[in-house]
Amino acid sequence: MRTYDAFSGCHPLVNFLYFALVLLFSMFLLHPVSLMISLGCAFAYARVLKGRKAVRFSLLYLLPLLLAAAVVNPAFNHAGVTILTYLPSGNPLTLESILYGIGAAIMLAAVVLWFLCCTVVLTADKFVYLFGRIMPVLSLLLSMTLRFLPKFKAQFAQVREAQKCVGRDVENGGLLRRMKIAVTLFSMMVTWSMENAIETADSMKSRGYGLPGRTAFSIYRFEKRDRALLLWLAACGGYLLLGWAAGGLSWQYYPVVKGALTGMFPVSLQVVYLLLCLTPLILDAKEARQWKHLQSNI
Amino acid sequence: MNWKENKWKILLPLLLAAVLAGAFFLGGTAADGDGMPKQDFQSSQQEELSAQDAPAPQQLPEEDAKSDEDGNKEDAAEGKQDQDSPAQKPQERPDRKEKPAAPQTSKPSEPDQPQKPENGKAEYTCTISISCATILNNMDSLDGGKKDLVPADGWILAPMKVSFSEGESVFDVLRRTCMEQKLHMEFEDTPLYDSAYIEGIGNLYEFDCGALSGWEYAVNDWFPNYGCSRYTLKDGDVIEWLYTCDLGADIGAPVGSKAA
Repeated sequence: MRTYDAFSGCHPLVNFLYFALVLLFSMFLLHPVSLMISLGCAFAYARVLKGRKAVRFSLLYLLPLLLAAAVVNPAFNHAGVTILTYLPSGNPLTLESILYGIGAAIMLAAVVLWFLCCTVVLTADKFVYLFGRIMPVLSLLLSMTLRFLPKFKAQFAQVREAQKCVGRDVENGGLLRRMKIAVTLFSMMVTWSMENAIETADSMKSRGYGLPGRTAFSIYRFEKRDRALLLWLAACGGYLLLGWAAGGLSWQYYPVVKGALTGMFPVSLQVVYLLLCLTPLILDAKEARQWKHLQSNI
Repeated sequence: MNWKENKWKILLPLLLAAVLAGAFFLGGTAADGDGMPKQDFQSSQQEELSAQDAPAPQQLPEEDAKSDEDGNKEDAAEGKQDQDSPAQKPQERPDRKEKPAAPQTSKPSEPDQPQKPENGKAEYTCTISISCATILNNMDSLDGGKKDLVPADGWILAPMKVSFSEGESVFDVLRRTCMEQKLHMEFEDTPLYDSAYIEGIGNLYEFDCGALSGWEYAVNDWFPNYGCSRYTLKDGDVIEWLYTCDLGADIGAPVGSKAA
């Protein structure tokens, strides 16, 4: 069941700015507090958008990925002043490399979750609406690429079912036969996807996509709420960028773990970052309260 | 599941195993356990050397030492070949016999292959020191977070006497000393060259102080041009580990010259 998300109903520009900022900060801030904020908010928002599917995805794929990344880093990276023990290869196992591994793993998981949210909120039509004028070819290409995988999956299931009906199932027969069928299936899918891409491009061209003076229907209106949100996001982003440049978000793992943690400035930056990440959730909560309030008034 | 349908499941792995086994035994090195590629590597170097040495068999060892690293690697390979198969290529014997009697009496010109240390046979002592004094002159190019790691006088490990057993290399001594002194040290082992490369000591890594920085070692003030795990120590040797910020020029071992 998908719950209603107020943020998805905002103007595409607001959605885009939000995800651009959040992804930028998630990818580049290695401060442990920022990482925790990013991961927590991404998980919470993914839960709102996708419900239990997001939880299952996180536990099934992200948790193992997180653990693997945390283990792999100390195996290859031996920098750091705190030597815990020596690895069989003779190189030291350091506390710093373990911490960095965990940090990088959290960053990876957070970015994956943010992209998960991004594909739900920033749909292909919003993307084309935003960039169709400025860079028509690129935006069409991007929206087609983003659309490719789900479409491929659906078509693959269809082709597989059809092949099953004529007795060519990948689950039956010897290894060689199964491989043969799989290769045939794959070749079908490749042919289909290429044809489909060309057809889409031709279809868009025949409609005059990207020609000057051509308008596109869009249902998005830039409301007062959107302006307020845009201002809010820009202010948060600007403050964080300034703080970042001033070193208020700096963190160092090697050779000694240290960084900006206490003091007015770093704490305020983290609070602003938390508020920025929570923007959609706050908006959702506000609308839910308003809705309840209006209902109780009846 | 009948035989006809599944025979390839059995035949294919068998065929693969047969081919692999054939390749292994035809290499001719399966018995003595020595890696096949190594043998090839050496023999190709041997040919290279003979081609190089043929026109001037009376080449002076001094000149030989002046040639770049390849030349010395060949020396190394040659030395090993000598031990392994004394009967091969007799026409080069006189040339090679000259080399051990090189004028550099105190400084070894050939890396001896480190033998397996026979523990408890003999205990020797050597002096080891680790210094990064060159960084003190190049503090601006050092990575920002690593400034605290550089000691004021540059000594990460002041000269100290350590004991070692016969056949141990510079690398063995460095590794053991770092473990005992709780010093950080990271290395990379390259089996192809049978050599270890020191990436960082005390969290000061290669390239930390400019693109030309890294660790070099000297034994008795001589900078060997091969890996530290191939230098077999003798009693009383003085090992220095020096951090360079200029590819060796600032510690008296510029590239291309054989610093003595």
